[in-house]
Amino acid sequence: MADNKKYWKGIEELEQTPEFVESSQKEFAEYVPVDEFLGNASEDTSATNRRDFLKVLGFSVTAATLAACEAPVTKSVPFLNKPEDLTPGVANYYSSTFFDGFDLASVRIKTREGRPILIEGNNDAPLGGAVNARVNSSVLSLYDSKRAKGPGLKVGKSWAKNVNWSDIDSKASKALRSAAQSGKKVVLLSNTVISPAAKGAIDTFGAYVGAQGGAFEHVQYDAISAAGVLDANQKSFGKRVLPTYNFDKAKTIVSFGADFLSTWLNSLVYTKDYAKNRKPDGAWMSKHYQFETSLTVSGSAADVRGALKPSEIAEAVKYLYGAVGGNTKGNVPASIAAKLDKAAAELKANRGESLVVAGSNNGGVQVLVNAINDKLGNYGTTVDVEKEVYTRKGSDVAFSKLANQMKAGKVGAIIIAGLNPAYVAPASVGIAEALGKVETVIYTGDRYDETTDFANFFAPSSHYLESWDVLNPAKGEYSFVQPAINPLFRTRQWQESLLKWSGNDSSYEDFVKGTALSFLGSEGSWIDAVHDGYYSGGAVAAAPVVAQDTTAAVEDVVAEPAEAVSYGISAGVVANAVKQATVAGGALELELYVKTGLGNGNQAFNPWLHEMPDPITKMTYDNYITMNPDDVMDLFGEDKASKDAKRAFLYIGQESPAKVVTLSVGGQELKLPVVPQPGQALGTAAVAIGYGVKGTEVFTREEWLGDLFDAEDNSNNTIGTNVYPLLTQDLWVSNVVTEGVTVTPVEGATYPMATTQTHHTMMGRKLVNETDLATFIEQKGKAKDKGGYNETILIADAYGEKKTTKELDLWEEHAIDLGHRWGLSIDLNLCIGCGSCVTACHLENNVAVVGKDEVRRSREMHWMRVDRYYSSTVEEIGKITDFNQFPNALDGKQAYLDAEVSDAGDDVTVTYQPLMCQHCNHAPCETVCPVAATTHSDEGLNQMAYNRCVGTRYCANNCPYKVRRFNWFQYDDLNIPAFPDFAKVNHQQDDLGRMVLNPDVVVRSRGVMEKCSMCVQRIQGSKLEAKKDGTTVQDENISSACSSACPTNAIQFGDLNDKSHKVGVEKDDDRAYLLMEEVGTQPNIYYQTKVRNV
Amino acid sequence: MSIGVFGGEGFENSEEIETYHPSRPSAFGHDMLVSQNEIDCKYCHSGVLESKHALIPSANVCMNCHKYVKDKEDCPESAEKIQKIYDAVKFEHGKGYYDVDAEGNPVVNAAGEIVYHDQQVAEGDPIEWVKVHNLQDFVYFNHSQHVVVGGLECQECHGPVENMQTAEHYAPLTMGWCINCHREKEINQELKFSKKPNGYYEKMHDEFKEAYKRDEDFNFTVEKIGGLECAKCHY
Repeated sequence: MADNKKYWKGIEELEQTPEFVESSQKEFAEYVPVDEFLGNASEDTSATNRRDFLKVLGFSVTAATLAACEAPVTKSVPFLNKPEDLTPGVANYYSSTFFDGFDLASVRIKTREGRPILIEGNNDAPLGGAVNARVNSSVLSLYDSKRAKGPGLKVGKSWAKNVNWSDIDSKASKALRSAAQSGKKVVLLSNTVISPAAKGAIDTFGAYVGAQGGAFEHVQYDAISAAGVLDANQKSFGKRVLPTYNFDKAKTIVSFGADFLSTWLNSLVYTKDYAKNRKPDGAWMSKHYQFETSLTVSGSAADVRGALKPSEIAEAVKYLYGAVGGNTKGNVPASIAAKLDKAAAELKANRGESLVVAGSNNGGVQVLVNAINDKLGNYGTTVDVEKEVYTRKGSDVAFSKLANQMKAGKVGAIIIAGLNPAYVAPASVGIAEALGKVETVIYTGDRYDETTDFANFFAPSSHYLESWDVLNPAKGEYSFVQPAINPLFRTRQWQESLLKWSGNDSSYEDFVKGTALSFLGSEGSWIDAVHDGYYSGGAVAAAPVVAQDTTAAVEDVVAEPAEAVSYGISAGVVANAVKQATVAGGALELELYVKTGLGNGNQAFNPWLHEMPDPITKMTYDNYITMNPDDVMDLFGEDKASKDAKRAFLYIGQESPAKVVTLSVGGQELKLPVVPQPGQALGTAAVAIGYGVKGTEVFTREEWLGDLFDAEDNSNNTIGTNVYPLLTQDLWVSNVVTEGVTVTPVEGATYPMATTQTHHTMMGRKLVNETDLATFIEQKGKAKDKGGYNETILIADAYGEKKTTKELDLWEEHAIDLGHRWGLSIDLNLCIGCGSCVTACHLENNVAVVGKDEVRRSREMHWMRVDRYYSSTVEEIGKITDFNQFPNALDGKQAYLDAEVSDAGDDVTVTYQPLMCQHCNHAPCETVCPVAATTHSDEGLNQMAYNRCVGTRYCANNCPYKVRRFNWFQYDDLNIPAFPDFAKVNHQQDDLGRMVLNPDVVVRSRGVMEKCSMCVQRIQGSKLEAKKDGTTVQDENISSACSSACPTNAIQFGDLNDKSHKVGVEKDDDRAYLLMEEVGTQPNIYYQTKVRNV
Repeated sequence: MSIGVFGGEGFENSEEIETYHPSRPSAFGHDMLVSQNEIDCKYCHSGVLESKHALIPSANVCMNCHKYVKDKEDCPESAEKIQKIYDAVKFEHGKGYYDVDAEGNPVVNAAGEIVYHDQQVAEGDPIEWVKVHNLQDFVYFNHSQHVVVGGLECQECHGPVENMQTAEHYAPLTMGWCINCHREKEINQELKFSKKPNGYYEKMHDEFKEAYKRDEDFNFTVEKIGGLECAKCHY
């Protein structure tokens, strides 16, 4: 009987309509997004579907098997003469320094078989040792096949092919000589140069130009200018340098728009220092006030935050100066004034142990900040002017002066190094016109970009991993750059080119060594210094000391702590500064901020940085206008009073693209998507600089850009939009525009945004546990009791008896105390959300890049993410404290929905939570895998055997933490033409990019689930080292990629069963809790409650 | 039927390995070097001491002996093979190393005589060897774990290499074979293989002995310390 039965899905099948017959031949009955990947028309019309493909493959497999009864023969080619310290299969580490004029970091480079594959911090170095996403991702920029392959020579309007260095050298030397002899100026335009060796090369070149009868000038300009700070310090202390800021000594920190944890000056040094006193269980915990326009990484870490328009920030500085005893008044809103009063009281209470900084590039604001620090007796303690820092030297005035000279035809030749002026210059500088007027333009960038359009000679400089240098980042501190690989292309460091063109044939390596020997003394100490990567102390080159501005009388004298130094910034200077700092406000003010991921845009070709979600907005791949949600509602004429309307209108997700607006500033118009940003000051718009770099259009396509796609001119389809031209310049380049800014909606236009987080609140669950310092101290030892801030979650059993989740368990106990139990302890107090761990994980574990369109579909492959939650008072309503009772569930639901749209205006607090596989001891994923591809190890790891996985995705569906990622496509194979997107964005795609892969970790295939392995290859490696040494695994010898990349040490990795490991102790801390403990998964990842110092 | 799509160099099954006899340009002579001359395997394959790879020795290791041993009288065939090493490193027996010019001709002095050196100077083409043991890319195997830590003899996996002229497959190198050994191999709890007490294992072994002391049938095999777990080899 059963055989006669016919099952059908619908009437079409029963009747076998032609449409049905056709569709049944296809693998997927309905439209599948695969087609979007096909990208080109010919593929669309192709009748080949996957089933045919498999048929073909089936044939070819058989053929191949028949043809090759014997497996292919592989050759092994050992060294002819093996270097003693290079063993295949064993990693070598080299110390070096990352400095691109923006970030400074002492790094350790891991190489395998001669290839740099990982960048980690050099923790021994006095300056830095911390890394951020920009630094650790820089290894991928080395393998960028879009870098220039060799020098270029412009013939007519196009670049000649196959030019070699001797051509360039002879022709460039000749051009430079004739420029010098013509009596015109020869200029070197660079970013900040902190290398004494480079300085030597520049001097050699200058002397050569002089000998030819020409005048030479070296102009330094920083893309993200700090000239205001430098000039203010010149005025205040007679030294045009940065002081050393000791964030670790400051009990009260007040920052006015300085994102010192992410992008401001030497952010990595500050971050490391700052983190030292952000734990509540130390002797003291610093208190951090942040007053800023857009929500920044520093602002989200702050204990107290105030949102201000850019024009109001100067007012706030003035107000604070008045409040700490100065004679200025500032006009600020009452709510901010209250916060400033509180800050002032604490600053005064912590004289000599407080710190005020400002991000503004306005010299006036900076002089005021100096005056505040002086009043507070912070000089000599938290601000050390004697310990000069040289990492910013650029002069905005010199740069615009140079542009004017160029326009006037006074410059005969210009060499450009470390800077892409045609990209970074404000529009007012008129750089295109200026460069057009110079006869000889020599560019030493790393690829053909905006500036090469104006150059006649292209002499590409090497990547820092291929370079030699000695850097002098601060007084008495030297940092070394050594190559970890030979130059991959025919590139040459620009310093060596300068030497060449001055008739000096020595290599830059010798030159660096010569310079270093002048203060190191001996060959032996040179080897030591390069090995260590740094050198402290020793002979310090005498810096020119300019007399202080002490003409005016010291305004007021207060009893200073013994060690503090008073600079007595005079009333006259302050009055002048007030005048300079004061700017007129407008109805809408614009801030051009620097994003954590891309920084100043130096690495705009690095897909890891593009795919790393922004810490705040969680958007990938683009820059956009951020505005306060209320402002966005007003702009589009929506009813901002209605929470439902607000939520619906502002939501950005897979199928909800962003709205597009036209931003108009001083005659310049740009179309940009708008992203609502809770916490941003009302009446402001903010856009990130560093985007829209020429050449990035190769990554994008129509689906990425929505209505902003330019079908006619592809060069407009870059990733993001360049807003450097919107910078304004008075005395200093300013990143804020306070007048004449308008935004107008572009009717009907939308722009797809790829975001990794669409919900922003915790829905009342104990995800990020948070308390304040007073409660923390009060409940010491009782935190986990009932009513404590870290209350243990109890669940009622069938008889209503409250039990812990350990007692109420579906699973059988298994021994977890025997041997190792690897785990993490993540301190939410220290996490600043920077994303360094996310990119480090990318590096270490060969995680694929998937491109914007896939991220938009939530298919990013990141093994770990950093969740960002907003909170405001609204959320308290829906907070579930008792998990057995959901009184009035519908009210609760409404509260959660309401919490998604903040009614707190610009007052919102932010918490971060790094989230990776929790390696549950009772893992829900393991029980549902039909093929046992994911299993538990005796060492507490939740293992994933890729070869066993058949891709059912049950595990991902059963994971309460949503940390499992599925390979929807073959991201690593260039030979599949159906996926052009991956070819564009994925580093694993081309032969060169593949060099960055970690050889100890498998590259996953299509249809396979993957997730955090807790860096099992590093665990195994460290264990093996310990076994060979005959010791136990020491805490300092084992780390995961995320823990080693964390600049604040928020992530600790180790053996939970070993009390000598930090995690072994921290897991029992008052603050320790398990994420969603109520689910009963018993993870091996412990989180430490966030304690806010309010 | 599927093929080893993950690792291009891997084998599909043990039968394939048994029939895998890649042709070698010349018969190397492990038997003579190991049996007659009693050279330790680890002398040439020194990678086993520190690396995941055993490593085929670099030519300079061969030259440690063959700088002196030419073997012309005893065995003319060997002389031919040794000459291959000499050609690669640019060496003439009894005279020394010489440098070569761009065309590959020896560098001569003014008198037209070849200039000889004590140390290798020329950077020529390295010798290409045929790889016999190919493990799939998705398996992590570390020689030093087995040789240094585990104290295994090379022959346990590679068979009587001392009797083989050219290296041949002895073990199938399949997962089943690996696992079987991990199931059966008892760990030397007294740590005799190690020169010094191994601080890593001591504590762990004591804990295990304590935990399983009532179990009379307890065999302290590799399996018991996690030797069968997926992520010990696959990651």
